[in-house]
Amino acid sequence: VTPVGSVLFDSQALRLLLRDDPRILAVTARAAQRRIPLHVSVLTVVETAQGRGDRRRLDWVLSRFRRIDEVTPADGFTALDLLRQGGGLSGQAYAIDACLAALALRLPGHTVVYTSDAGDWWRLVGGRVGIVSV
Amino acid sequence: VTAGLSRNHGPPVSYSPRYTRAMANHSVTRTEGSTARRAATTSFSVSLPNSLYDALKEAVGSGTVSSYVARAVEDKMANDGLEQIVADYVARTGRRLTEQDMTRVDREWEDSFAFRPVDAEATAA
Repeated sequence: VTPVGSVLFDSQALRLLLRDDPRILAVTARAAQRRIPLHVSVLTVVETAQGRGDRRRLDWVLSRFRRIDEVTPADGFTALDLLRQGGGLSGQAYAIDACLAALALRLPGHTVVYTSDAGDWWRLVGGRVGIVSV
Repeated sequence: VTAGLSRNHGPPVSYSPRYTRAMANHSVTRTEGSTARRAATTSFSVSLPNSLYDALKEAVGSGTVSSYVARAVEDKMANDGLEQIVADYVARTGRRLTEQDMTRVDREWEDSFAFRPVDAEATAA
């Protein structure tokens, strides 16, 4: 059994949390029970907030998170390497996923990511972080 | 902090107005070296049982008590925040998460490290 040290939500997982998805709420509850930090990146916030959505609800949920992870310049360079190692992935969506993947790699302990792009994540960091499809 | 004795306002942190509004209650975590950004601080005293204070000093090691306590409080508040999200859901919907739900999460986490896309190329496309 791999001990989980961090949980990371992508934008779809965060959207599901905002919509009271029971499965994602169970993840949130379990993380709280086990005192495992739940992370969202500032890129994820932007992805989630754009377009339609209840901004007040988003703000409230994020205020409960207390911390929003930033993507650092070092993450950007790690992301470049991940894209290259992933077979030359390119495009805006891949770029964001690669930055989040770089973040996932530096979070404390073994990281589990909840994502709607499980296949992309596999190509970027397969076997190095846990991947759960949402 | 009501027990504040002195305040040290660090260098001003510039955020865009929208960011300030949305993120007023957040800190930005940094888990590796980056440009210096010190938050404003407040000094105050707390009382701890002697045994806990001794354990704290040992745990802090070569670090500082302030940074250790700040991190611990931040972690606790973040964890409380997750509990509040769940409590809010239960209060609004009347639905409760069961032990079965929790067990499913455990299984997801365990299986996540063995994740293999059925067809990575198809999924990526």
